[in-house]
Amino acid sequence: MLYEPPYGPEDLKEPPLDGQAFINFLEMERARKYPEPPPFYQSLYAGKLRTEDLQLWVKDMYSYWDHALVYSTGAILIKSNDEATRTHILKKLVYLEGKDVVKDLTGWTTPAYEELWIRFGQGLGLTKGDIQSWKPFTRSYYAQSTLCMLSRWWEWSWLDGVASMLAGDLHHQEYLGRAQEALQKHYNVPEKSLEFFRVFAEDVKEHIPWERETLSYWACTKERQLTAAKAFRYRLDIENQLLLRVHTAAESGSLPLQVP
Amino acid sequence: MAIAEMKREGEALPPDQLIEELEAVRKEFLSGKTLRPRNIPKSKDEVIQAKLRHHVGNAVQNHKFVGEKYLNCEDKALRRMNLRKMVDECGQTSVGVGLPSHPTLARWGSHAFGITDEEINKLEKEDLPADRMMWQCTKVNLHRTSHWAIDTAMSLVGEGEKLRPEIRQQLLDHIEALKQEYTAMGIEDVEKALAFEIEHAAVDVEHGELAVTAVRKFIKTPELQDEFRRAFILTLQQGHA
Repeated sequence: MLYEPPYGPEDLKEPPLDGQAFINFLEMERARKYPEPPPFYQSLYAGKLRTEDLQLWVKDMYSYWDHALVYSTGAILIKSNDEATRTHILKKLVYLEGKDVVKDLTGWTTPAYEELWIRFGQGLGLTKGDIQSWKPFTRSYYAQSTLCMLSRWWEWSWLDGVASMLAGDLHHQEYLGRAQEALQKHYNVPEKSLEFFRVFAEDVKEHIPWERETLSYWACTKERQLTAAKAFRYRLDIENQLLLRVHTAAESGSLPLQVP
Repeated sequence: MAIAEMKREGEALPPDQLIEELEAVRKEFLSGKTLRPRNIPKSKDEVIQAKLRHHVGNAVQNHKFVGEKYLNCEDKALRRMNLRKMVDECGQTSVGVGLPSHPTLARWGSHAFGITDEEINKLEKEDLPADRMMWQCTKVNLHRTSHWAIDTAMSLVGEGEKLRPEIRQQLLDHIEALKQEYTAMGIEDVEKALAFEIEHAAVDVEHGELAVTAVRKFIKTPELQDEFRRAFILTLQQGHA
């Protein structure tokens, strides 16, 4: 909730949905609000993008994988006083920051998502410097900044944060999975440059069940369900807004406004 | 000591000299003893009462300030070291191996004395006593409002004391004394009963090194050193203010 007035007695008089019904409701909200993939992804899947468009996507999304997703996840962890939930979020954070952070405990060597994203970009002909020095499109920056703020401060509760995570993971699971197929089929991106997509696909399969379970159990009041559903929808907005300007650039051939 | 008296002007100290200065403050303020008093209990009931108090308000949790050290950190390498530390604190089992979270180790210690999870769950929801509440909120707030490097460096007070050989020895001696007392009390699995204390005497050495790293690499201006002195002293004063 940003400026919306608080829910009053009329809003809260109905009993909450039971757990699974609430999860089903969220998924219906997703289908209602965004029945199609973001336009940029539609073009990607249809093989209509040029290499420069893909490169722009890599550059513009780098700060999301490097900062916004990491920061927003950590911010929700700090708010989460339920240890079981927090333990799941901690594991998610380790996956984001690089499983090699706990190599001494587990032997894992997978690096951070941002490193894997860079390797994907290198497979498209970009250098690490090209990617890291890119100033995001302002709209993309707004979307990332929104995700960080809502996660960090009082607008979202810990449970709203979990709803946001579920929305983000459902979005990425579907669309990045299809992106991987399209990149191989239409754009000849070498297999070795697609490690990001393989790693993400495996990891997200672990997150979605506990996110659903957490919401199913803890969203046990009407108010919690209303705010969690709102956070879920806002996260879908954020994910779609993140891709708006790379789509504009691909369609128009000119660069939209960027962060100074 | 008056915080205002500590203000320095002019050049920053070399970081190791700043650490020495603060360790001298620690030694004087605590008379060479550990940050938190280490008592030898006289009876099983005394142990039980202490453990029950320890669970009130769930203040054995630490994610709210350990998480801030991580989240605010602007140096990626240091941030990931903080994440690794958070895995120790919040549960190595989160990544499928090793020890559970430190709050769970505290529960093991209580289980050994017959305190049940139901009792603990009830205590966790109770209000913290006012004096403990004031320090716990101040600790979290210091982490939210201090410079990010100071967030990490503040661990020099608690975990960092284990870097002092004379203090670490006091902790190890205390653990040995407790083992004997607990055995005499008829506690069956003394190692598990003391898992929380044993883990802290060990892993805090590495965590303390992280604080030293933060001081050496990032707390190098007069202003930051002054801010760190205040945070260090305020943390040192917990339990005494």
